[in-house]
Amino acid sequence: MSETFDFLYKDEQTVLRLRRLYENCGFKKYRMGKFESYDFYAKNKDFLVGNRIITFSDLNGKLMALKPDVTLSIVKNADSMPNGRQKLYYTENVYRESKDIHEFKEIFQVGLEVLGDIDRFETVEIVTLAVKSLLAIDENAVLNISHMGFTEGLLDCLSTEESTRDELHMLFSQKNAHDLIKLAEKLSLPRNPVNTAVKVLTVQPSNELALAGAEENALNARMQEAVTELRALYELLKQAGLDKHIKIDLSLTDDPGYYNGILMHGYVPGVARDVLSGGRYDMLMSKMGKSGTHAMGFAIYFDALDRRLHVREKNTTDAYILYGSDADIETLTRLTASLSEQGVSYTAVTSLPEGLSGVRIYHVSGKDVKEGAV
Amino acid sequence: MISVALPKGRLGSKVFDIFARVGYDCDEMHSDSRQLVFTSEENGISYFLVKPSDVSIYVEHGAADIGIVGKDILLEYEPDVYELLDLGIGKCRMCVAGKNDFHDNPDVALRVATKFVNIAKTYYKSINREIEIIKLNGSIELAPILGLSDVIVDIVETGTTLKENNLGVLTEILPISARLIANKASYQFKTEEIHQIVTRFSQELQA
Repeated sequence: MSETFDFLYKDEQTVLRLRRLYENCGFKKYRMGKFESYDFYAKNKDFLVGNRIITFSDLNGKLMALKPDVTLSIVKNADSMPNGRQKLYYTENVYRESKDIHEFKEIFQVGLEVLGDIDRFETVEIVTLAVKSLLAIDENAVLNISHMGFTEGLLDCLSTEESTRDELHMLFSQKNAHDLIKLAEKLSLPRNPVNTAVKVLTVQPSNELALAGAEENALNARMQEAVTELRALYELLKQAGLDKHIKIDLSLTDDPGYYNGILMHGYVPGVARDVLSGGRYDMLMSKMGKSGTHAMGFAIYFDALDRRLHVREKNTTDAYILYGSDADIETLTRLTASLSEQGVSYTAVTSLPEGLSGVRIYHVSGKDVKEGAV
Repeated sequence: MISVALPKGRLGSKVFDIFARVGYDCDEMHSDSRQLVFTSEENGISYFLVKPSDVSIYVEHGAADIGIVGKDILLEYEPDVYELLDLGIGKCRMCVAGKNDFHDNPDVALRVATKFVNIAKTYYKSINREIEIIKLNGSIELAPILGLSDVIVDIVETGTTLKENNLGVLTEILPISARLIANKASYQFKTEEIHQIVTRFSQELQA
């Protein structure tokens, strides 16, 4: 069994590890069809990454879409909630436009969602699973954690203008304190919250200092509530020994029409972008007509991990069988059966490929078999 | 080891001088070699020089941990990077320019020639003006002279080229200066090193 596991590519091994991790915590696999009605995605376009969707007409002339997202489908189908909570995970391909190549791309995602009653325990469990998922990929992974309540509370003190808030969101996501100061001067934004915003955007040497700074600079009840939740979460993660993989970064922000609580972005060394993202998204639930239902989850983007994980340590071919037109077929089949029994992988060829090394060569001529190596 | 993408040309040399002054000198950079990557093991830094408009690409894709790039490039290409410091050097202005006798006719779409399509579109959208974009890659000033466009959107440093061609600045869209950017993932794993560079640069620029 272990040999079979070793034979798999690292990304395949990682997916199996993640499945086990999630199923051990009571998550059930969610499987969705490849196609969904286009209307559904068109109505919820604001929640999709990118605006383009691959569409086609089905045999009845109905406009369908190749799924660009999994979360929306899970939310749509989650109407019955036994025991007040539904815990699902998925391993699915989604189809989105790629900003870089301006073409559609198939992206493999693994993720989990909890819908229903999300209490403090469930929040800690989801964040813990996010950290453990990253650690299944790399032992030096880091999960950035923030709270939308803190950021939005701070923006409430800065401006109620939608366009200004959009600009501030962008500056937060860039950690751009210098342009934030210029914008504040231009629009005469209140000084105290501007100073707090600049502190939030400045790098903090430790999580303790980041949290202490946030507690000290909570300017309203929304910020206070957020930082209290964040502090409690951090203490529990610390007790679990996961704090060294956590970075509290209150400049982290996202679409406030989607997220409303804890926000997460995960990174692994050697990959230039975030490989995990997620958080609490009650706002999406209420916009999809499920007010009062909480939701939280995350997704891991395997397209970002391709170069890192689509490799395997074991050679696909241990041996080459080189045979000519004079080779005896019975000898050949006996040889291949024997190699299979020994667990040796082989490729039968009539001419050897160039650049071989570290493999056995069986030269079959008539009923003779000569063994060698390169 | 921190890798730095510097823009080729005057700005790159100026920025490297600052790096050298704040403790990140690199002997290889002073030699007249045809090397592409210059490394100082001693100071834990390596530099490479690329076309200014490519700096943000190298940083966004993680080939460089940090880079120095003009705000014009950041606004035009909107890379997903952290923008950690305004260096306040390499200053210029993004402007709308046109013939000195230009009069806007709001009844027809304005023909705008530019290298900076995104910046031009965003600006005219903000003032609700219908435009027609003509994308050019160089010698933008020629466009209104030859009647290819009504105005241009381009970087203006001194305005001398405009003056010599009977053109003038009609509107200043925004001021431009060089920015220090960082790859978002590199920032997670090299936080201290990057923060040290930002701090030393800020102190040097304020001095």
